[in-house]
Amino acid sequence: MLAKKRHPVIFTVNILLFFAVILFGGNSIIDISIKNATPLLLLPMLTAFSIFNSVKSSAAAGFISGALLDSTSSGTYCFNTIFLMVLSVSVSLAANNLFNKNIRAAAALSLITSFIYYIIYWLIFMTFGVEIQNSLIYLLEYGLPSAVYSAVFIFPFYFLYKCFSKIKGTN
Amino acid sequence: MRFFFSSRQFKVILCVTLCLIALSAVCIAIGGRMSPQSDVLGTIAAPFRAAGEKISTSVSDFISAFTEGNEAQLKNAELESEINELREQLKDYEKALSENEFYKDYLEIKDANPDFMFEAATLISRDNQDPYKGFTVNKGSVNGISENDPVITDAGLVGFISEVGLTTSKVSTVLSPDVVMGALDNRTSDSGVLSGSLELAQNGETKLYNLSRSCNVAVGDYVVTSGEGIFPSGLLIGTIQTIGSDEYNTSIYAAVKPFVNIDEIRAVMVITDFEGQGALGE
Repeated sequence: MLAKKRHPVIFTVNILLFFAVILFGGNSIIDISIKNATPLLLLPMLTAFSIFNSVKSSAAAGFISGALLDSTSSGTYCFNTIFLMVLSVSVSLAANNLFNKNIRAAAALSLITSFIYYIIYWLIFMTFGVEIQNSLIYLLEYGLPSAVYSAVFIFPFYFLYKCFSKIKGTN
Repeated sequence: MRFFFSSRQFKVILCVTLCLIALSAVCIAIGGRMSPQSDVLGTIAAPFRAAGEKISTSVSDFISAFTEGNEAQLKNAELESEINELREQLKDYEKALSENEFYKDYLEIKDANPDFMFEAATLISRDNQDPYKGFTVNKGSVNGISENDPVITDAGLVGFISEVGLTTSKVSTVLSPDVVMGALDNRTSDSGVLSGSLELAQNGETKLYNLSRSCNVAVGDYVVTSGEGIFPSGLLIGTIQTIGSDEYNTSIYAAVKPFVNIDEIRAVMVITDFEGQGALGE
């Protein structure tokens, strides 16, 4: 029987990377916002991670990072946990069955996931009980610019996870 | 891919998703509590977040020391070690002094309001996705903090506790539309309702509306809490920046700039108890 090859170093680096992105995404050490566009680095990072990892690993990564994000987000309850878990599973499935694992597919997946995230976020949290003017301000001035800006970060994460994948020999 | 949908993995993920949706519904129905999985992970991650915030603060201080220049450090190379030693002592002294000032300011508030019970808390994470600049502090229900507790600094009102976890809590700021409270012009005692809007939050302002057309409010007036809602009366909120008329011309509103610079908050005080708390909060 073939034993599954483990890569503790890559596993540790992955955990540290996720933790660093979650930790420093929530404070002002490096402010990379452009006006109202604030990137959610977890989205491209999870997208890149899911492209090169199994559905199970992607679901676990999505669940944990989503729950951590929910612990500091105002009024989101389980939204990030559910969304990031479903997103990771969907990306992993799409990358393994529908798309090639190249940079164009990754960029497309990242853009799609970012847009879906911000549109669903807007639909759930910004359309009910908020004036229509404020709701549209959020979508046009915060949501969509943040989605595009977040998607840009797929490039470094894609190459990083491609490199990890080559080391693991799973690509 | 169709094999995935009949696999055990898919069923587990589906079950987890449905459980989370049900959990969200329960959390929304109860209100004011963090979801359990976020609470557990948030509690585990809280010390790391606090450490991350400290690193962030140190780096910012280091950068600002460079940009503002530190002539004494560069002037005398021979006395460098001595300067460093003195600087260390000065740092401790300044830290003690600022802590002293911090508590003295709160003591003044406490003296003016003997019924206030405070719990000091430190910011551990900001919600970058929140346009109203909400943040998380390192104290929770185990420290006696509960939902709707007012949050202040020595400069004035910050907001209120919107969600409570075991060891962490989320704060909604005065810029948020979730904050709805009675407020007064401190000079004229004209009263209105204060609440945030996205349009004004972009400029770091909030809105005092429902002011009578015959009121005498003016730009530069201080706005304080009136005691209606979840906040005690007399807390400083901010200054009036602009005054306008509502769309039906029936009342006027004022844009209020909070005294507290929410971007620079590092430590806050949570008022865990005060006379009349909960009387009008529900």
